[in-house]
Amino acid sequence: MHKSSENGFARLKLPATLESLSRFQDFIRKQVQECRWPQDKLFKLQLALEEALVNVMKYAYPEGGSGWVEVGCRLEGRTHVWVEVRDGGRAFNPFDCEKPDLTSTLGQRKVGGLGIFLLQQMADHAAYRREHDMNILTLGFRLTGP
Amino acid sequence: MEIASTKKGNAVLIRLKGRMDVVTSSAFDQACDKIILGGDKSLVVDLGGLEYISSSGLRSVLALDKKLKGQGGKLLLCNLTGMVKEVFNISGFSSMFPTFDSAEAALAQIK
Repeated sequence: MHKSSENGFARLKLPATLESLSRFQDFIRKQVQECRWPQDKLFKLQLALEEALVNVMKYAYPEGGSGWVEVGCRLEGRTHVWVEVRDGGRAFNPFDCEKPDLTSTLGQRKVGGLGIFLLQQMADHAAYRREHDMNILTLGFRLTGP
Repeated sequence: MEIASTKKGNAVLIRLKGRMDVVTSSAFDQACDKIILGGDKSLVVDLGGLEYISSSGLRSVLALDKKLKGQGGKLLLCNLTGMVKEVFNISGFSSMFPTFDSAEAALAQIK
């Protein structure tokens, strides 16, 4: 495990395996605790984070290989939370994927792309960039209204 | 996630409690496989105690539906609330599955 801080982001770096998921969830939960967000907003953040991480853990590295994934979190007051997910796997822009067909019937339904679709629906901002041989996914969450 | 199943006439009622994520949804898959192996083909899944679901959970529900239909059985869902209901709506899953307000209403569909 590697904990660090950079550009105002508290960061946690772990092996890119599903076993790391709960550690990342705990990390984010602690980071955003002081914002005192309502539970439904926290669920949105958790869902977007899970979908982003699962995507990296399942597809970023060759099967059987060992890779890493890092989650960063930065608060802007109590109303904005920025989450950054970085990995050193193959270049992959999740937003280049085909959108799932939400109108197809149950029999024809394919589930690929659903995770990324949910991520985009849950986050108020989602952007991808490739930098220094890393995939960097930035997610923004904003608390609006009372 | 807690998974509790009870035999109700010709159906099996499965109550889920907690979080259905990429890790816990495989426990759900296994529990359902066991029930199907035991010969039951009509399942009612009560999501009332579920507070969180991700695409992995949706994928499990979809796979279960396909499995049951392939054997001439069916899957009914009930008690969708809060975040779970929202994720079902956003993903289009609520229009693909028959959903019921109570386990009793869902079980009444299986004779």
